[in-house]
Amino acid sequence: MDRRDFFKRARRTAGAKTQKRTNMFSGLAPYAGSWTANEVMHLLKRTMFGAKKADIDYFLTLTPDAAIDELLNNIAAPTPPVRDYGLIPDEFGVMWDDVGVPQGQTWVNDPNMASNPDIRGTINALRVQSLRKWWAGLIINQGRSIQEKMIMFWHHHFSVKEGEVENAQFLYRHHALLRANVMGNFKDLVKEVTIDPAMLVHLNGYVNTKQAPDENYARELQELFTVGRGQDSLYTEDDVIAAARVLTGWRINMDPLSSYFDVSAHDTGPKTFSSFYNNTTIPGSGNDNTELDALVNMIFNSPETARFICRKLYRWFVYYQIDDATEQDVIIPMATVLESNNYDVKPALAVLFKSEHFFDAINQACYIKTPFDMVVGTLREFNVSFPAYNNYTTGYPLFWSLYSSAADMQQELFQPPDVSGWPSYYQDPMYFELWVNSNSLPRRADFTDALVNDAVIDVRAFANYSSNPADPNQLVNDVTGLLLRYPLSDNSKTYVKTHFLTNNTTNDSIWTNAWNSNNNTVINNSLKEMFKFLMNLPEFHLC
Amino acid sequence: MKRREFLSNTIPAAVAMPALLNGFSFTAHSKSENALGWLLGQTTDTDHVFVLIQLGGGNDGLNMVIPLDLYANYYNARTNVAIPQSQVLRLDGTDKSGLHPAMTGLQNMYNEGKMSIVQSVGYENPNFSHFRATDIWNTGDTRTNRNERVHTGWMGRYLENEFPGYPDAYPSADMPDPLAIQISSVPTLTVQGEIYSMGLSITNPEKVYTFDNPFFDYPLNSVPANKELKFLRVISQKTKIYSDLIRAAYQRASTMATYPTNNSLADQLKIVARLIKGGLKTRVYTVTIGGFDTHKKQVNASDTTTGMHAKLMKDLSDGISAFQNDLELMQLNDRVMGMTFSEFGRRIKSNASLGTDHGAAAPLLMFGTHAKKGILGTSPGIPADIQVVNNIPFQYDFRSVYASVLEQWFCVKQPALDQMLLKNYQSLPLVEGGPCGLPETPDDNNNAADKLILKMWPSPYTVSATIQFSTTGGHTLIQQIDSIGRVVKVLTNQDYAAGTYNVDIYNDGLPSGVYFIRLQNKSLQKVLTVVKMPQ
Repeated sequence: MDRRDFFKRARRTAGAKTQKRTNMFSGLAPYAGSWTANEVMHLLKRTMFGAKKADIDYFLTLTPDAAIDELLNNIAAPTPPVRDYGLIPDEFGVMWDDVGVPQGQTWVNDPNMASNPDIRGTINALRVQSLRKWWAGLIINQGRSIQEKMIMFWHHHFSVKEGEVENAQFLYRHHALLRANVMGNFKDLVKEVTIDPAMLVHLNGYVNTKQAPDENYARELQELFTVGRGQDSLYTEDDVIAAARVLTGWRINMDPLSSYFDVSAHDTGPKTFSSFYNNTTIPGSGNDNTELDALVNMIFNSPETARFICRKLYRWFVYYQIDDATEQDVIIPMATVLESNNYDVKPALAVLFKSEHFFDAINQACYIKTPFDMVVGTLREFNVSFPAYNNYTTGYPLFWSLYSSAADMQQELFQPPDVSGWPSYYQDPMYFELWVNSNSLPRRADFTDALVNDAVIDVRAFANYSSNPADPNQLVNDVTGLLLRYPLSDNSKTYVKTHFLTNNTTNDSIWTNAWNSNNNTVINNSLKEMFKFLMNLPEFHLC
Repeated sequence: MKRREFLSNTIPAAVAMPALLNGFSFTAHSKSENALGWLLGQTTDTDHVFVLIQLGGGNDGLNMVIPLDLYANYYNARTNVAIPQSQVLRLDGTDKSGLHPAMTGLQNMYNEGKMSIVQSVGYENPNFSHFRATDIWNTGDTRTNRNERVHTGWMGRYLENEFPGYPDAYPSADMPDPLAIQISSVPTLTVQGEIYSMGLSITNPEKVYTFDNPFFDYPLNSVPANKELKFLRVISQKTKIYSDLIRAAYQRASTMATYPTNNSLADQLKIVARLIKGGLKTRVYTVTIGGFDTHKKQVNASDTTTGMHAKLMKDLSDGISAFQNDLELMQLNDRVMGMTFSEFGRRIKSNASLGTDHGAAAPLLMFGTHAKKGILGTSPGIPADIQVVNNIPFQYDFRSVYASVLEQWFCVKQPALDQMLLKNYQSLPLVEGGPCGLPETPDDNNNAADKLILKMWPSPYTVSATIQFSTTGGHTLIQQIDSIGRVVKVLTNQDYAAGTYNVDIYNDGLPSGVYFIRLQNKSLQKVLTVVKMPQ
């Protein structure tokens, strides 16, 4: 049976139950099924990093629609990252200050031109570090919102990386642009990113001139950011060249940081595009935004743009396989919603998350956790508390360890591996499976083992989430239910119970007595070994 | 053995198999074993090892192998990044090409007969996207229609054919070790099989992983979730088994040569040598060095022999020569060969940022004691009136290089060879003294190619022209390539008796501009530059 057959079968089952399915498999029709911890966990683990017990309980009190509306709401903009570093030694060991910014104040408006030139490179590196700590701090402290996962989506999509940009101020500005538009208008975002200083550096837009055209951005704008390389996306090599000509002349001003249009470097001749773009001609103009607007309008007039971004969103939130049924009954209608809302992403995401397709059993427990799901998700699920995101003295060092752990497992903030983002979302045939290999799996195991061994997580507190932790059957049932989206069979649960809680016997009272007599040694050792085991299970990597 | 017709129209049914299996249900795995089983799936007894060095980002081949015989045009096309003629490293026995000045290690290897160069390697429809071009090189599939393309790697297909049933039935008595090892954090498509990667990714050969999963059942009735769970279980189980084997092998051996420091390629090759010495029967290793996407600051303005690309060329050269030295001290050099590749070369004309943009064909390097000494092919044609769009037309298809490696280093026979490469490709003289080598040398090959007739008149042409060519007999192909490097016409593609023939061009509908006429006759090839004038 393939995925399509399974869908058909699921549709029949659903139809029989609800009496309202007529001709579609589980497409974008509104979800009308049950609303239990299972559905809430599915929703939270896909749209946030991890599903905290308190969040599960909270969303269970809402209707599915209200829950999704709340998740899609914007959260107030955070204050920017601050200087968390002290004096900086030069190569002779002499200490210098970053004279542009006092400690505890933000550096994002300072062009780093006032300090000793020999240490400006180090200052920039320290600012990039503080930027990474700050974002990791926001992720671990996320509210009940899709926001941080969606910003990471845009980061994956535009894939601006530190290794190319090499400037903290540029990177922050780019990130702030993604953050400000996170649930906003895709078309506006593309237009703004096109002339964003970080992107102008990242893909060479700032050296793209009439005299020496550079196609780098014009190519990726089409291939990676908008129309994509789908089966019907038939733009040509000449379209790349023409788009590059439209985009000639954009330059960067360092202080204050901005981009501007240098008409002397702009190709003012007419640019003609292929039949894929209806043979559009963009006349030359000396005005900064006229041609850019025309180019973005032309690209967004292609239905491929909405479909491409919807496929990408689908792979980010649901599953990587898009078969014909999914394309027809999910991607295309979702793209229609996006287009009819003039490219506002929120209504399109709402229709996806509120659909019976999203909650279809076939789409549950099949997502391989990203490194951030693994690191932040696990910490949040064990309710490990962290300082506020803007606490640079005690918070930033901890946030740095989150950043480093995820980077170690191949998801590094501000450094996606290449211009197309993380391969787990585009590399056929393995996709998500690329996160887990003989290199990264041991690192994931080291991380979760260390959480237990170093008592970062409180195993006792997690056991207390159980409705009756003194009953080993109930305890195993409840904790595996919270930790594992892919359920353990009854036999496997019995294995866990006897192996870790009842000393390899069938005598449940061994555990019950230990728990009721508050035997700390037995309880803690048993729980520690059990949780290490559970987090090493292949099932734990699914969400 | 008579090779089947190049670019045969009839692709055997089994070639389509990997595409038909959408990889969704893992029950397809057993089907795939059957499908590949008929490809003479008998394990070859070989102790040969092949090392693939991927140069990530698109290597500037013109500044790696510098065309001394076309130096004026080379310099004119890229004055701000050109390597001064006097500083190009000379190679024994040739005045035509030399190496980047930072590549003294590979210069010595060439002169000692341990390195060869294949000129202008590419394909018929060059792609300029890193992402897609890398896939093309790794899969060996250039088809533009996504639905037709295979999702397996060329080495993955070789390994899957040699070791059917991987990973479930392995390690086995025949293959007690990983089939392929990738020194990287993420597996690449090169060794991708139909469902699983045929390779193991490692960055630390001494890493310990001990988890022993006791669960095998699938309580959910969900195809996607079960597919992913099965995948995770297999990875967990194989990681435990193979990490023990790799660690043991690594600890049995020790490094014998001195490797350069601050050189990530050298660090990776050092691990590879130790694992081979430690006794692993692994056949394929892949290593990667990044940073070749030199759009800007490829060279320092003050001295074009320094800068980013110079550092990369030095790392490449020092890394490979230290590796070769290590293998010789370990007395393993007879067993190991390798090659470099990159997703594309760079544009002939440099840009204003001391860099070069994405290009097409580029030279690749074969190295090892059994690499045939010499330079296969000629210096790439560089027009005197260089335009931004001009690219290097390919002389050799990259799949001809792959086919020759599999044929001459791993002794893969037909019809399996054509299946692995998806079509029949030219056999090139790449391996010397191996158990399955060919008698030719690059020089003999070049000389024989030189003797082929390839002319066109009138030249330039406007509406009609005649091409005269000679063939030594057998399969003969003539392609017309445009200035971007794309094959735009196939002028003939059939078997001929030895002799001289004409083909006519009339009203070909092509725009005016520079074209290349590429003649291929069995292992020989020759390229002629022609111009079409506006009517």
